Amino acid sequence: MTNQKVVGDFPKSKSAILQMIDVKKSFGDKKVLDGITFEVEEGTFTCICGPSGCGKSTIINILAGYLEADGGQCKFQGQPITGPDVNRLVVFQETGLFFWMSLWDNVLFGPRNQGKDLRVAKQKARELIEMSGLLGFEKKYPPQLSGGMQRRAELIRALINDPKVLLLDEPFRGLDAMTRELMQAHFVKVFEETKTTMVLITSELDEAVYMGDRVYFLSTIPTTVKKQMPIPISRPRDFKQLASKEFSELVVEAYETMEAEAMKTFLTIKREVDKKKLFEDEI
Amino acid sequence: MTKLMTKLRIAVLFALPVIGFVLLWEIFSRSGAIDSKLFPPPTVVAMAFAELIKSGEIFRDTGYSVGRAIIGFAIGAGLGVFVGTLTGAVKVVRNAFLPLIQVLRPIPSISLVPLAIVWFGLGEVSKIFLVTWSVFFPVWLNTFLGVTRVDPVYVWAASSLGASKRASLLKVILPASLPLIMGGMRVGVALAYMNLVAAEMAGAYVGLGFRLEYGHMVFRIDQMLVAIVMIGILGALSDRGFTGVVETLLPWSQTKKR
Repeated sequence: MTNQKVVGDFPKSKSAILQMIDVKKSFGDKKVLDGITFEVEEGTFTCICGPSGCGKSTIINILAGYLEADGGQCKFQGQPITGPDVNRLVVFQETGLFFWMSLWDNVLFGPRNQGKDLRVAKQKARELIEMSGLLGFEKKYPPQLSGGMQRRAELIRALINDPKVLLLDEPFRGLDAMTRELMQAHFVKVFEETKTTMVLITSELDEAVYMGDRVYFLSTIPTTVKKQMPIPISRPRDFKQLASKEFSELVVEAYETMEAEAMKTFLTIKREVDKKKLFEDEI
Repeated sequence: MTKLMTKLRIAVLFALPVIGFVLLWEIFSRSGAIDSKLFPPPTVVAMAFAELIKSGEIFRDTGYSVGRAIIGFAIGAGLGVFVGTLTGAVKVVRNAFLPLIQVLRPIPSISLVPLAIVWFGLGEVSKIFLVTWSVFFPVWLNTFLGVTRVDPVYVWAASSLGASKRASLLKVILPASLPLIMGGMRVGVALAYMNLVAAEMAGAYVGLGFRLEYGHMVFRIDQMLVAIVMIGILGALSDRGFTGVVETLLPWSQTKKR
């Protein structure tokens, strides 16, 4: 309860492009979001960090307009979010690439369906593909690409539409450590070059601190925002800063915030297991 | 050199049991160990085959059977995808037709053979009807499942990227269901073939099933065996052919999803 109050106190800046105010969401009997309040400033990189199973993806799906909140307000540029919009595009967990289309057709899916000038779009697609190091892979189908290539391809498919906000739903999950670091750097670079507002969902604290301008920490389920933390590390960022004292202090602070929540999840699971055991013993 | 050797070894390993089987059959049949009237030796069957080639009957039979199978399959699969998409994507249609389809689906198509002959006669229509019937249900079911259980991520992505409902159905939901639909069609190919032969045996003037039944009536077991071998070869070829067509038309289907 006290947490909600603290979070609600932050100054309502005029440049907030996305806002969630006291958003609630349940699935059946399961209360997932229990009053989420936060905002995203235009042109910034916001990370939302939380333990697994706390409804992080639900937040993204509500912001994207795929799911409706049960209560509270969600606003994009001050207007209530009513459905999906090409200004709020998602890079999905695992992959949202269409496996039946080549990389090229995937990238052009947006412009084609919005009836945009295809000559311009194709030129832009070529530039983005080149920038992402995917030249020569245009005719490949998503399953023929490596995990890192798929991530970059999906980012391009969104970027070509010039969205106002990019919603990144744990985009690096399932990548090996090396690829993960490369992709983090790539996404940071794209952010710094395009200045597209980005919201990243993650459960990795150092990833959040490395990439974000501000990190929101979520509690365990039923989920609230526990804390927010500005990340004052200068941009452009590169991985050398990962070794800096400033960075490690911030990560330690983040770990301390999240440890308590992680322990709670752990204890709930343990309690459920104990209960189950008891039940089995009775039988 | 070693590659050639392995290939050769595989070929020998493949051929040996076949040759052995045919040889044993020949010996047993010729020696009188088994009744050669009931089990004519392979050489006699081969001669019957040559005879049917000479008269051109085997080509006519095969042509008719393949034609019926292809036409029936095309109609059944087309209807299956169309109705599957409608029942999957439109709630009103689903609620109206699902009970009917679910009642008709468990009826084995072989049980419709006599009815089809009464309704449509001994000509082409009854055969094509039965093939269509048997192909429709597996294709309908898999299309329906594909459309209703498509990964929401794809539909979400499409709607964000500006696709209309229609575009989303045609360019996203249906292609995303294609792996399932193709599975249904592959089952359909096998069923089409089985039911075609059954229908042709029950009453026809031409076709491999007819050749089999005709051989039975005039006690030409050698001709019956020719028909059965042809049915076996065509069955294997139709499955391979279908997979080949799918791989050419849908190049991504060769790679694993995700």
